[in-house]
Amino acid sequence: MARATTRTLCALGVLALLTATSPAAADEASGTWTGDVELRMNYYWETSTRVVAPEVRVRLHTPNGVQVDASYLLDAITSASIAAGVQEDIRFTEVRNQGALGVSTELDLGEAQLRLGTSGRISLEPDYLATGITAYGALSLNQRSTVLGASFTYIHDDVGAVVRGGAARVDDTGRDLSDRGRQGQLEGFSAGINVSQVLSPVATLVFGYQVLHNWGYLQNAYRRVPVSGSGLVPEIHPTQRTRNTLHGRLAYFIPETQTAVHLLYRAYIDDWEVGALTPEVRIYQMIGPSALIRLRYRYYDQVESFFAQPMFDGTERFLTADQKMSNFHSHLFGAQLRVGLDFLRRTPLSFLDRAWLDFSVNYWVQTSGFGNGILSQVGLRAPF
Amino acid sequence: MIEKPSLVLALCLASLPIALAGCVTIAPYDREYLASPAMSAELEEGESEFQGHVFDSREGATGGHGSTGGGCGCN
Repeated sequence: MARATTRTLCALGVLALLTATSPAAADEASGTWTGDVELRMNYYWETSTRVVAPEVRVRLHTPNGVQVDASYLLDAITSASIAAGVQEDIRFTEVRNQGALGVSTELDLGEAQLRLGTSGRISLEPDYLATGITAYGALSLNQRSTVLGASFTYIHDDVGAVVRGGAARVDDTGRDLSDRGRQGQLEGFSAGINVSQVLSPVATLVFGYQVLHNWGYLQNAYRRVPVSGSGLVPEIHPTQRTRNTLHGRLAYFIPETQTAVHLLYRAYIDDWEVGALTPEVRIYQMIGPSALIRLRYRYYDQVESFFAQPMFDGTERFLTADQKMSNFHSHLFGAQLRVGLDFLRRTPLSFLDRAWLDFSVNYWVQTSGFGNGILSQVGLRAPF
Repeated sequence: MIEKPSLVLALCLASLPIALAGCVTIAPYDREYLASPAMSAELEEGESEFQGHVFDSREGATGGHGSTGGGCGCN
């Protein structure tokens, strides 16, 4: 686990150094650092789960044209979750720390511009370590009307298990006995391509394809499956999974009413025979120059995996109690208010006069066993 | 509930924009409306990442929002 983390950090450091020493970009003459800071509080609620996740994101543009992105997220699950495999009413709090760092720079090729970048991510919780490193590039053409992008990500996760809930388990020496040790590891890579095209002075289109291949420990370390005559037994999932996603976003602006309509679409299929369609519509309404209301509706419809079934008799090769393997659909309704803070210009808080504050609430109706949920976020994004 | 053959059709339809996009060039001075906050998906990156994480932990599908198939013990 530690070796994998060290390898990831070393690779990221080398790539960061290479990128930072690349040719300078346009704002070198100013000699100033610019960027923005974003503070965000995320909240998710459903019958058996409550998640509070504060995060901070920083983007820096250096005078020599390098862009640096860094983020940190603290993810606190404050109650039991069906997804965590809890079979009884155990309340527990589990904390996940996630950090990410990325660097990129743009090379001027004359009539085209090429942005190259890399990023790394580490997520750590008591029973799970996730690492990932990404390399990406974006070629801008036609006065940036067309952008062709490609990315490649490698991930390595170490899956553990701990005893959850109840009193702390320690031996006579005070040693923590709750750690059940490493259960397995999950490896994977994803490759994606995307195209961003300005269609007209009021319309843009983005579409792409992503393939993701995982191998290793793909079940949940806690979930138990009811099997006739055997009681509850651990999940057994296939050890490989290849997932394909096509996605797109068409945005259209109506100048007369200062309204924008975004249509999003995703089609997904994998070799576990899970398939899903996800259409979404978002409507944005400007209210003056400094306020924006967004309404959204997202529909999700999924067909089950080839090994999902309501009951198992013990003769099956694969066993699952994962709600995500079943047939279900969901509706998400959301609203967001985004306000520019330019009214702070003549106050002691004038350093925030270019910032935007957003607040959103989404209500999620799900026919899966997870039940309905509420997803709410508050964010402050301040450029400097 | 969707049928699996319809997914194949959906994948084909979703790939149509590749043929439609072409190589249109819109000059920077013609992009006033595209600069509106209402047209910027970049402003939503921060909120989209956490939402993608929630969707990944509750849905069988993934992708299209930057996720990479690993990331936490909530699978």
